[in-house]
Amino acid sequence: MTALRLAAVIDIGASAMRLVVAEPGPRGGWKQIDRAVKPVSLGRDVFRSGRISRETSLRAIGILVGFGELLAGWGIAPGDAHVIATSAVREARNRAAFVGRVFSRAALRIHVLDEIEENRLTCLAVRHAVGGLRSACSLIIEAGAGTTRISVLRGKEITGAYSFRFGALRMGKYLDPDWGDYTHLERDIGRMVGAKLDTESPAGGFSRASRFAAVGSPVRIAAEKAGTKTKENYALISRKNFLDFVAGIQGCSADECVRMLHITYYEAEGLVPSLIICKYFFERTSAREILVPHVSIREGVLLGFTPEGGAAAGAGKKP
Amino acid sequence: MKTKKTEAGVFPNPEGQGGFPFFNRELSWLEFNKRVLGEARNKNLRLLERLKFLSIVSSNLDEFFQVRVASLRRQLASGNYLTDPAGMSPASQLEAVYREARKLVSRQYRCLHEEILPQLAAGGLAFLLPKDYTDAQKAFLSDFFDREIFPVLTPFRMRKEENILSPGNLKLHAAFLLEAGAGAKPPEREEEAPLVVAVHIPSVLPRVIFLPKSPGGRGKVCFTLLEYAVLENSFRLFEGYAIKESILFRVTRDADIGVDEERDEDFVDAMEEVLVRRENSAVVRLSVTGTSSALRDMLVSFLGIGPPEVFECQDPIDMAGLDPALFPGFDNLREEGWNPPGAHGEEPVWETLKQRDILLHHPYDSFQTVVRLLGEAASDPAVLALKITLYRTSGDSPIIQALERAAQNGKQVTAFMELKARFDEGRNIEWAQRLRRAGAIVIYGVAYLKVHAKALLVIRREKAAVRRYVHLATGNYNDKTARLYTDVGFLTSRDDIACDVSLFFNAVTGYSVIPSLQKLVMAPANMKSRLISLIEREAALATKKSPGLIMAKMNSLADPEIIAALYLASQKGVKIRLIVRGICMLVPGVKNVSENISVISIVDRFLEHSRVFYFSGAGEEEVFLSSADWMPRNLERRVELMFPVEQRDLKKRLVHILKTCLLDNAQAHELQSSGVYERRRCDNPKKALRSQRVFYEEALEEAREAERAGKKEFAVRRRPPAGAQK
Repeated sequence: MTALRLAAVIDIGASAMRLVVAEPGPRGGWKQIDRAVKPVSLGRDVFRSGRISRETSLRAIGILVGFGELLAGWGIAPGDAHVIATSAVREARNRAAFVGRVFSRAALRIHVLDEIEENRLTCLAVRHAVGGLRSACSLIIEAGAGTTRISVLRGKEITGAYSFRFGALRMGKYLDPDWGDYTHLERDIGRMVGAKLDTESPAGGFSRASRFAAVGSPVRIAAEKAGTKTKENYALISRKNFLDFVAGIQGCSADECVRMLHITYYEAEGLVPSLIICKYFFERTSAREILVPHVSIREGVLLGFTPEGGAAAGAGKKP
Repeated sequence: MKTKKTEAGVFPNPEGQGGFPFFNRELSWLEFNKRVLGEARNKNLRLLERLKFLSIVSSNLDEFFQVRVASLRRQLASGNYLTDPAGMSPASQLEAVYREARKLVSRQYRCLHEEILPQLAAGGLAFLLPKDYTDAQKAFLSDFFDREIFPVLTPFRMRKEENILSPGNLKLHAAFLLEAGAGAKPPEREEEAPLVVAVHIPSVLPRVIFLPKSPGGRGKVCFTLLEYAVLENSFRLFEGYAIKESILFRVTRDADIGVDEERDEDFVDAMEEVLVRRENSAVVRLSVTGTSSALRDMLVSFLGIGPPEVFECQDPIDMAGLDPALFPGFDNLREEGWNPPGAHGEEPVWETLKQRDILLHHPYDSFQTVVRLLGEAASDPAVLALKITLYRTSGDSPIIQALERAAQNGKQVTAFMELKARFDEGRNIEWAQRLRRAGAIVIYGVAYLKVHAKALLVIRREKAAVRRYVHLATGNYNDKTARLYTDVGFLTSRDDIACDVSLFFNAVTGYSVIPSLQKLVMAPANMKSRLISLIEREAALATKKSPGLIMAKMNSLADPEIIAALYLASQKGVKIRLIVRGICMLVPGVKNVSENISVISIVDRFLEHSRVFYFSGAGEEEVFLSSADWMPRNLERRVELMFPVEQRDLKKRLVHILKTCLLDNAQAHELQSSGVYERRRCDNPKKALRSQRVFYEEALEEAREAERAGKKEFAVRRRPPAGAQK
């Protein structure tokens, strides 16, 4: 009997570590069969001090050891899991030590992605989910905990990739124990982004983008609550519904979001700043709706294991 | 609405929480225990079955005092005078509880002495007290005492200042007031008199002692109890002393002692300490025979309690151990055995589950199907992993054995062992250690919550895919209670449910955060809000023509917010039919509040334990099974699962179960708005419907059908032996 190969991807982000286990899908691609996510303060450490603290490092390793146990239940050895890390690990001055410690304690080899690679993998996942973005100019955004990444596409080609060092976690007001006042958040984003938008973006800026795709758990929650159409691999939110939804939760704390939206506490943390960041960019495009694919960078990594994605550079070994 | 003190002692309080009426939880529970006593008084039952119910009344009261009464006492002692939703203060609750419990115990003994014991004697089984022994029986007991009892007795002096060997919890003791005889050592100090010595009636010895038949006894089997053999021969313990007075007593202590949740590293040790502390915690009840007021008063003083805590009982003071199984034979005094058919079908469960879901209604459907699934999983080379939650499992459990075997066979076994399952802590600690030694991953609990969900996940690598097989249930993984309780189990390989179960296990084993689930509903995350949504939806969809219907079966209904939602739905016209075995704080049949709500309770041979909820949904029917009752402890302080059953025939079967229970007119009691439960009666035996008998007979008929089908064609085995598979 041919052994059925499973694939596992572990994504070490700024605020959480995520694991996905997938099996070959019926029409090619991969079908997710298990997942896990654990919060970790890598971004909080690195964005403040530039280093991953010992305490956070130990917690991260503990989580990864647990992930290893979970994978063992699927018959997946640690060496067969593909582990990627993004902004927090990338920017940590003690990155090498952290990566080494993870390998020695959890037998997991981390591949630290650069910003371009992050964008590329996300685009790959999004295009696969929506069957290609048929538009003159599309914009794909992921407002993560540490970084907001934007890819600009013309047809199938990525013509611009931007990475802004702000995310739900990194914005100063989020770090404040009092949830703070988000009315200044957009102004702060504008200040950080403003110059880039005008000088580095494609001619005419983002305003030419007529398709807007957003990735991430916060925008998926928005789609679930305010989306108008749902396809198998993505949901759609009209411009009005999205803007109304964000306006409705803009002043809410995590507790209030949990109560109002019937989501988990983990989902509520970071929800409001992420959506405000999305809203900021969305309003600067001409898109009439937001396309929310049910994918993440992890699906992009998985696609690297199929003929469609090819052997993605730095995507690690194939199963 | 009038408030009045009823014979039942409950106080529907119109000023209850939110302006809605509620019954008091503790008094409602005592009403339940009265219904159990009602079965002991049921002349339609055979005597040993009635004795069984008497015994259950006692063991129920033991737990009630250890947990609920203890909790009220602590609340009062801590100065927390918060009233309950029914508007009763802790002090008034305690006063009412002790008063009603005393009445219950008094009725219990009247039933035992005026009905059961005399009729048992007439039926050939006689209970003898020392005053009834013949000389031959005394000689027999004397010899038995010397050989078996004396070596394991350890008398200890009882003094207020000393607590060297305290009377523990629920342990039966004899106490003696001694007087120094000639030749005995006189007391050293004046203050040492009186000399009170106690001895624990050993629980390692059988409680029931069969005596030689008495001549002229017409062949009656005579028995006595161990404590009376001790009393009868106790003089041998105290050479040189005379026994002035003697008494039997039993102390009930607070068992609701919380574990220190901060102790992560040595949580198992912390749990073991709880078990030790329970032996010396605050006394909530002293049960004594009425043979010595002097000893009784001394005990009260030694234990630091007051008159309300003292229950003077007739013999025997501990009825909890009078299990009919202790009296072999006497088939004429027992109810006919109901032996539900065993699990049928030899095909591996996996093959069936690939085609359809399976519903098991225990005990009518055998629990062996689940045991077999685990057994097969343990040996199946295709199985990668097993994950299971264990709350209460049986002694020498086949479940544990299968898990051990699976771990030894190289499968990844993850067992969530809830160490905080009250009164099963010691056993669960042992099982946990046994599984760990076998190589399983053992999770010892979740901080501040009890995991009460019943879930099993098997991951199997098959040719075309890795497949997951799931078992979810309303009852525990306990093959013994599965024969005594009604419960429902659900087996499936559906992807959506399996995915949610995987996420659930990832959360409780610490691999992942509390997830959003698609099909399953989890407490304490969102089960209460989901239930309220379902009730509110029913109300929103209600029309005059189609008022909506909620049918729900559970063990207890005590959550004020859920009850308020039900009241509001009733006011919108929704018909609400509840089957609540035990505590019910909802007041049905109140005009403009709950006139569309009816509540019944079924007390019968099997303990009703299943949790089944139906919502008509204006035609979009939804049926759920759940590990949770509608109580704050389930919905807020435990990890529970509620899951939909969507396969049409199984949904239909669950609706049939609910409707049949609602039609029960033989063993059902209807709750009135006064708090009294009235037993439904059916004068025409042909129209009597006893739901448990209906289910039993349906199971028998299904087994007969299967047997008939087996006679029509051969069940051919096409599967090669395991070693020959490629």
